Amino acid sequence: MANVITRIYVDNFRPLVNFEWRPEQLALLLGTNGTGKSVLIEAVMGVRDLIVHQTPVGEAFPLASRTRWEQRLETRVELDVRRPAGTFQYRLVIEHNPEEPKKSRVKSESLRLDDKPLMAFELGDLQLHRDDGSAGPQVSSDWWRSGLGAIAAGRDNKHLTAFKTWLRDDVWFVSPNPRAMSARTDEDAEAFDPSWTNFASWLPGWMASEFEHARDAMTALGEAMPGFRSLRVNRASLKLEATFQIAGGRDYAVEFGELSDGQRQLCVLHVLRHAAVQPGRLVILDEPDNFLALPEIQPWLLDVAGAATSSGGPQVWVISHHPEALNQLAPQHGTRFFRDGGPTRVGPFEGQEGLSAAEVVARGWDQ
Amino acid sequence: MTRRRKVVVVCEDAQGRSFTLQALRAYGFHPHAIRVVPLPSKVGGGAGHAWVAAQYPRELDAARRAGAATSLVAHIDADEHTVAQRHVQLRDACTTAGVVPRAATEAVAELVPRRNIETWIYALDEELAGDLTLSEHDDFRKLKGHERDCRAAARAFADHARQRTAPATTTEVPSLVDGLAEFRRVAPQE
Repeated sequence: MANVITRIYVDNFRPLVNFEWRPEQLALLLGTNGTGKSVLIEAVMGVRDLIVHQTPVGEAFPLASRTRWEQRLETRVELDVRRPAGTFQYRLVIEHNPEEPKKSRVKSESLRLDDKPLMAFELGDLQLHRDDGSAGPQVSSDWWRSGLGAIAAGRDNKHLTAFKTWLRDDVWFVSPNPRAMSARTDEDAEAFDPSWTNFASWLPGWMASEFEHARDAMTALGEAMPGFRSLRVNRASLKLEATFQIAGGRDYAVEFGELSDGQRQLCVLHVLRHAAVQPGRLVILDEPDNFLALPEIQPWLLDVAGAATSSGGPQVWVISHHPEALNQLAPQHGTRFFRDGGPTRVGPFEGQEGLSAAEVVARGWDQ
Repeated sequence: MTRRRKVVVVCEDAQGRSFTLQALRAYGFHPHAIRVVPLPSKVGGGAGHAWVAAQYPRELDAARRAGAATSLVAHIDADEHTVAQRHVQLRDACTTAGVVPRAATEAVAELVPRRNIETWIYALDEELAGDLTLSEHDDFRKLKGHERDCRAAARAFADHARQRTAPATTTEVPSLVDGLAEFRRVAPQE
């Protein structure tokens, strides 16, 4: 059984009003700009920030993120997540404060596993439950932050801890921007940044700890970039560099920052494929095809799609406007986001006989 | 010196695409040498075979124009027809389109699983087949959403093609014999 988000519900968050989506293992999110694709990801990552980083509610879900044409003060996010232990049901209700925007608070928050309570947080009162569902201690907690995030791991809350660990380690959102990436390897490797500006600092630790995956990534890069051999840290400059071999056998090194935008993007995507696109994960890729040459897209995209369509594989959502991504993924995995002057709606992509998916989208015939 | 051969792939559905792509990789084709023609955005009435038959002459003509280093692989399910009838359908499609049908020596493979690609997958992967009774006349469970689970079958197919062997299940699924012979027409290097 795959580990996936099986349902997302968001209400009163930007254009998402009473919005529900039941995603499959692989989804291409398509739709014109402003239809709420990125907003949905923002909601998921807002929950992650709230719980994993204990970000205050007012920062993760600011007052300005309410739906503009709504007057309601409550924002609601719900996630159903299927894991080996069962299906987790996470429910969050935020109460905004227009008088003091930074003082939005958690009105209620709960986590259940197959309908068995694991925790409930109501206006500052935090009720803990043991793994068997029985009531545990009741304590007070800061209502400006997540109650779930405040709970420390213990002997009796392994399920709850497993959910938090999944959110922290297995939910990846990457919107790679090679132009913002530094070659320095001495920056904060752990800092989360969707643009992956700290890729060079993160990579050496991953290569050392995930040797086989790293080897596969380097092999894939060798197939994508003629002459490529590996990525390594220059011990003198502490910068990441790529090594190549010219015909005839001599090696040479190029600092990561000297590679072209597209070459850096290729490095990131092939590493990402082997680092992140692994069983148990949710991997969200925002326009990964940027900067790539046309022949470079399909091999990577179909490899990622293949991983997601293996039993027990990761859940992968790709946001893309690229014709190649549309043509390869939309007919089977396309999820269309649209707005008819109102809130975001979602539905399966519907093609037209005799036309490619990209052409259907370009003509607006998927509307 | 060997040259890397390119291959263009036309499949009638996502399962055929996954199987063919993985079989080609296992056969030694470089991932960047494989171009999979995107599936149509919509196929009316499940007529994937009609779409393949329409694409085939076009791709055959284009591959010839690209030069000898480009192969073509087409996947078309036999469904309720015979393998021979599908080969004839592709040949006739070429004639109708004004394209010279493939010659015996051309690196053009027509993969025609009977009844469909799932039949081959189960015939090539005993574990996946479980207690299925193989036959070319029955429709078997689709791997919808898990198309990549055909990986072991695709590898076995490539191995048999390379070693010029055939699985024991060709008794129940004789279309595999034709499929392996077809697949051997394309080679990753020339």
